[in-house]
Amino acid sequence: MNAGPLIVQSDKTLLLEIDHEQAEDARREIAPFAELERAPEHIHTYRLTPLGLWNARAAGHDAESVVDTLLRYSRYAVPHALLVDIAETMDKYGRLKLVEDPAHGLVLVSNNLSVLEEVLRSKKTAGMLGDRIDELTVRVHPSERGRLKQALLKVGWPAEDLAGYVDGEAHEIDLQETGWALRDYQRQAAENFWHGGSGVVVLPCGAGKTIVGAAAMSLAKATTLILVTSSVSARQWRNELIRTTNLTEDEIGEYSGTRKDVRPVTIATYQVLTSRRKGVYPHLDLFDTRDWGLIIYDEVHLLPAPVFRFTADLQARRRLGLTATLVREDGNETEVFSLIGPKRYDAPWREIESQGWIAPADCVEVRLSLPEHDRLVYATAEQVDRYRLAATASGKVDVVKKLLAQHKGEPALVIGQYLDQLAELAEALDAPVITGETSMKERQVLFDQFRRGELELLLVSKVANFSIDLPEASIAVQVSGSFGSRQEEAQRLGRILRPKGDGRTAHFYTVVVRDTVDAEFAANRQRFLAEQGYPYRIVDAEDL
Amino acid sequence: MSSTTEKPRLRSFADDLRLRSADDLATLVRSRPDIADPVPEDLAQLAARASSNSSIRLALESMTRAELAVLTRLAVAPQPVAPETLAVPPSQEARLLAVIRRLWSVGVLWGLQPSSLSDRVYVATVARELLKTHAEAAGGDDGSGPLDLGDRTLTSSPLTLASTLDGQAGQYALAAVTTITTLAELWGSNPPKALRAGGLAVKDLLVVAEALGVDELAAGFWVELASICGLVAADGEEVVRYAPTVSYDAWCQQPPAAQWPRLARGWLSQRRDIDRLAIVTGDRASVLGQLPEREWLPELRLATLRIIASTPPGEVAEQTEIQEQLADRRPMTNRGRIASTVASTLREAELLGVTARHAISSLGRELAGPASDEAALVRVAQDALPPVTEEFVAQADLTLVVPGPPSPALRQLLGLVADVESTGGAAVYRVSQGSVARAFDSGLTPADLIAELRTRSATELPQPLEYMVNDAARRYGDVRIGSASAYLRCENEQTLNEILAHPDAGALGLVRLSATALSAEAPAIKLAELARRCGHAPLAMGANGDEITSSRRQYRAADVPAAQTPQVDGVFVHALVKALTRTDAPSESHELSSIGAPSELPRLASAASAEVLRMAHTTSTPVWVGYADNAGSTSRRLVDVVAISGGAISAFDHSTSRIRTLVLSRVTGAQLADGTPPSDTSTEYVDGSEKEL
Repeated sequence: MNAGPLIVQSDKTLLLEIDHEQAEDARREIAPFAELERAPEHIHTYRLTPLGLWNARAAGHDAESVVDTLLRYSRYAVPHALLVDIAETMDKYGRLKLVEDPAHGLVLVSNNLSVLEEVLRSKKTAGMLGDRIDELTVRVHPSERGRLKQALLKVGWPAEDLAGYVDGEAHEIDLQETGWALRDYQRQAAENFWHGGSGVVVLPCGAGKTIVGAAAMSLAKATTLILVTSSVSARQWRNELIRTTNLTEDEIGEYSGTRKDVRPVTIATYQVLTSRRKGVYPHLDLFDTRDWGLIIYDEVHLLPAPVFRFTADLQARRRLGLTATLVREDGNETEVFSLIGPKRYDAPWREIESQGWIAPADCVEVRLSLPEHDRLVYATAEQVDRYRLAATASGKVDVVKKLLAQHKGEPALVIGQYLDQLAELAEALDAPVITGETSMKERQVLFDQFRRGELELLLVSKVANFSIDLPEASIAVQVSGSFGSRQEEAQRLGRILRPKGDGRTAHFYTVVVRDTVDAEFAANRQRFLAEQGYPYRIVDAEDL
Repeated sequence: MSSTTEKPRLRSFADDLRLRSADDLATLVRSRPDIADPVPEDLAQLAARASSNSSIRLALESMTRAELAVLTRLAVAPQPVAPETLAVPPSQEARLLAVIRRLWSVGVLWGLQPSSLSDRVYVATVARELLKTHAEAAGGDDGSGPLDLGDRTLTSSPLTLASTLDGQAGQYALAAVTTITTLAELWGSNPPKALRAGGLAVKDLLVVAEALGVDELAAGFWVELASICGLVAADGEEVVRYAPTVSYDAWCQQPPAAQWPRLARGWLSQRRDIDRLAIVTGDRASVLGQLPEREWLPELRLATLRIIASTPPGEVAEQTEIQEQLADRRPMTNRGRIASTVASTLREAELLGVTARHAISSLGRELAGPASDEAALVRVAQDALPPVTEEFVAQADLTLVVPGPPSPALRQLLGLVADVESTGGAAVYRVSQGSVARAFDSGLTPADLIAELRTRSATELPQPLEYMVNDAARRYGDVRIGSASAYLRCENEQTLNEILAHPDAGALGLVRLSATALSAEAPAIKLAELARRCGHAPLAMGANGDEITSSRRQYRAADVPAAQTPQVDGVFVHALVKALTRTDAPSESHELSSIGAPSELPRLASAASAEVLRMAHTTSTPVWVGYADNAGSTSRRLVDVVAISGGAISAFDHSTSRIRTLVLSRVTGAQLADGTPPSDTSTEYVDGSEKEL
C-alpha cells in the first residue's frame, strides 16, 4: 500500500484524486489507456475498456507498462484478476496484422496459429479472406480491408493495420502562421495523427479542431476531402482554411445541397452524402472522384451509418477524425476505432481551459414554479405532452428577461427547441430568431452582425447546435432542449467557450420548471456538466 | 525385559491413562477431540472411547506416512515391542524416538511414557488389526526393507509481483467483510422466508447473488458462512424467515480488522458440504437447508491450509502439489476427500483473503498457526486490511466518494443518504431525491442531514447537493401516511367528541384525523365495543377501506444457541482433564465440597443460572448448583463445570467424584463457590436425597 492518487475499483473504473501531488503525473500516464469518464471537482473517474487498452497498444504501450503504472500510482492493492485481464486484453491486439506483401498484395498475418484458425473459422469473416499462403498468412481481398477490421474487432482479435496508405494526388498545402500561431497541443495532435497513420483526435469544443485539421493537411500535402455536419460548418472550415493556410478560394470546393464543386480541397456535408434517391446514395461517388490523400471527419461522433459503410472501402487512404467526445449515443465507438482508427490524441477540457485556450464557464440552473392552474394542466396531460408543456412554460420569458438584464451589454444567445416558444421570446425580447427555416444567406448576415457587436442578442433553435462559430457569445440561456442528451449539451457549451478578449467568465443558464419532467432532464444536464468539471449552481427564479 | 523393576506394570490402556500427567491428557484430548464428545465420566470411559474402532480409524487418518510406517512395523511384531527392534540407522534414531513419542501421546501406543527406543510399548489392538488389513491390502511393505522416516518436501515456485500479495489479500479480506455486511443489510430489510423443509429458496438465493454481484454458488458460500458465524439465522417465528442476528449488530459496529477473524474462524469450523449446492439436477441441496455434514472437513481443511502456509514467503504451490503433499501427510485418508477438500479450501481461502493468488497471506499464516488467538488475528488484520476512512469527498455531480473502506458509522450514514455506485478500493455513492427521502424516513431532518454531511465531508459541500437536500425536504411529507388498525367515521362531530371523551378511549390509541374521522391502534372489534358502550350501533366496513402502509422495518433473528458439540478449546480441555484426574482420587472431594457452601441457594431463572455456570466454566471456579431430580426434590451440590452444550452441562460432582450430566432446565439456582467461609458447614442436601441420573 502506498499513498498514491489512484484507486482501482472492482468495476474497472479508476478514481484519481486530483488534488494529490502525484495526480498530474498519474493522469498523464493513465490517459493513454483509460478513458476519462467524469471529471468533477475533486475526483476524476477513468474507465478501463478493451478499446482503450487497444488504443494504448496501438500507441506503443505494452501491458507491462500499463500494469506498472497502475501499481505505481494505486493507493490500495490492485486486484490481480484485473491485472491479468489487462494483460490478456492487450495481448489480443497485434496478434493479427494487416500488411502489404510484395508478392501477394494485402495479407493477414498472425503470430499464432490458433488465433488465425479461430478467425478463419469465424462466420463473421466469411468471404473476406482469400487463399492461405502459408500456415500463418492468408490473403485478404483489398476491398474487404475495412470490413475485415470491423469483423476482427467483433470476434475479439483486433488487427493492427500496417498495410500503409496511398499517397493520393499531391497538393502543396502549408500553414501560414501570420497573426496567429499553432498551439503546442494542436501541433502535438497533428503530429501524433500523422505518425499513427490514421486515427482520431479528441479535443474539447473551442480548442481549435479546425486548426488541427489544417495542420494535418499541411503534413499530408495532398488533396483532402473534409466531411462536416452542416453547410454553416462547411463555410467556417473554408474561412478558417483560407485564413490559416496558403490555400486560395479557388482551391477549396464546397459540396453541399446547393453547390457541387469538387476541388483539391473539398468540403462536403454528411447530409448530402447520405441523401438517398430510390434506395441508392448518389453522392457517395464523391469519395472516388479524386485520388484523395487525406479524409477528415469533423465531429466523428456524429458520423452517420452510411458514411461508415463507405469508409470501410477507404482504408487505403489516411483518415483523421476530429471530435470533442468519443462517446457515441448509439454506442458505435468500436466502429470509429476499426474504421477511422485508434485515438491519437486526447486532452482533458480542464487542462486546456487552465491554459487559457477556452473560457471558464459558470453554469447556473434557474428553477421556477408552475402557476397553480398550469400545474393542474400539467398533472392531467398525457406523458408525451408533458415535456413540451413544462419546457414552454410562459414564466420562462420573465426569467430570461431578468437574466439578460443582469448581463446588459454582453453578447447573448437564447437557445430553444420549440419554434413557438422562440417566437414568443423574440417578440418579448425584440431580437431576431434563427431556425431551420432561416435561409443560409440570412443566417450569415445575422451571424456577421452578431460577431461585429451590432447585434447583442440572438435566438437560435437547435440548428445552431453544430459548428457555428460565434466568438463573442459570453452568455447562453437555454430555455428548452431535447431531453438532455450529452452530446447536445457539449455542443451548447461549446457555443460560449471561446476565449473572450478580456478574459470574462462565460455564463451558461438553463431555465427549468421544478417538479416536472423538465427538471428531471435538468438533473441529467447537471450531472453531465458537473462531470465535465464545470461549477454548477442551482438558484430559484424568485431569488434572481 | 529391559524395563527396570521400579516401573509399575501396566495391564491396560486405562492404567496408562491414570499415570499420565495432566498435560499429557490434555494433549491426547486435543489431538483426538472425538473422544471427549460426549464428555466421558471417568478415565476408564475415556480409555474405552480412545480404543474404539471408529476413534482409532480417525486417529490413523490424520497420521503421516512416516508415522504409519513405524506403527505398521510395530503392529506386526509380538506385543509389547521395543522400537529398537526396527533397526534404523543411528542418524535416524532421534527422529524415530520423536515419532514414537507422538504416537504414544495420541494414544495409539500405550505403556509407560517411552524415554528411549528400548522402552517397550503396546500398539492399540484395534490399530493393529486395521494396520494389518491395510498393509495386506497395500501389499508393499513386508517389514524387511529400510524404514523411511523422511518427510516429503513441498515444491513451490516464486510468485510474480509477490510484494503486492498481502495488499491483495487485505482487499479480499475487506471484500469478504463488506459482502457479509451487504447480505445482512439486505436481509435486515427484506428477510426471505425459509422453505418448509428448511433452507433458502432458489429465487431468494438469486436475489442475494444479484445484491452481492456474484454467481449463485458464491452466494451460497457467503450465506452459509454468515450462518456458521452466527451473523444470520432463522428467526424462529411462525413463518420462518432468515434475518441478521442480534450479535450481527455488535459485529457490524467493529472495524473490519476486528470483524474479519470471526469470518475466518467460522470458515475453519464449517463442516457443511457446500459442494452439494453445485449439483444442478437430482439430489440438490438448498442453502441453509439439509446439507450433509462432513465431520472430517474442518480438520482436513486446516491440514490443507497448513500445507499452503508451509510455502516460503512469496511462493505458491500448485493444487496438485498440495494434494500430493496432503496425501503423503495422511496416507489413510480417502483420496477423493483430499482432492475435494484441497479444491474447496483453495477456492474459499481466496475469497477470504487467507490466500491471494493461491499463495498464503500474512492473514492466512496467522490463521493456520498453531496458537492463533483472536487478539493476534486482529493485530495481523489491522496491518493487512486497508485502514478505514472516516471522511468522504462530495462533488457537484452528486457523488460522494469515500477514498478507502468506509468506517461502519460512515457506511451507515451513506447507506441511508445515498446509493452505492461502485466499490473496490474506494466506495462511490450517489445521492438522489429518492435516497435523500430515505434518510428523512429514518428521522433525520434536512438541517441534521446537511450538518451530518458537513462534518463528514473532507471538502465543502457543493451547492447543488445542499439544494437537492432542501428541495427534497420541501416535497417530503406533503402527503402523509400512517398506519392504523381501525377507523371510525361519523358525520356528527359531537358523536366523535363523545367517544373520545369516554374513559375507555385512552387504551385504544385513538387519533382524530379530521372533524369526522378517527383512527385507532386497537383492532376494529375493540373500537366497535367502545362505540357500543357510548350507545351507538356501529356498522362494520369492508377491508378495502383501511389502508395500512408498513414502514421500513428492520428484522432481527435471535442469536443461535452455542454449537451442539462442545468446542475443544483451552478452557474445556483444562476442565475435563482436571475432572478426569480427580475421578480417580476421591479423597480430596470432601474438603473441597465444604468451600463456601451457601446457607441458601438463590433461585434463579435458567438463563441466569446458565450465565453463572458459564462464568464458573471460563474462570475454572467451583460452583454450587441447586438441582431438581426425577422425583421433583431439590438437592444442592458443588460441581466443576466441564462443558456447556445445548441445554445440558457436564460437570464434575465433588460429592461423588464423578462427571455427570445436568439438564439446564432442572437447575434451580447457581452460585460461585469463591472461597468465602461457609456460613453453613453442612454439605448435606437441603431437601431430599440425591439420585443417580
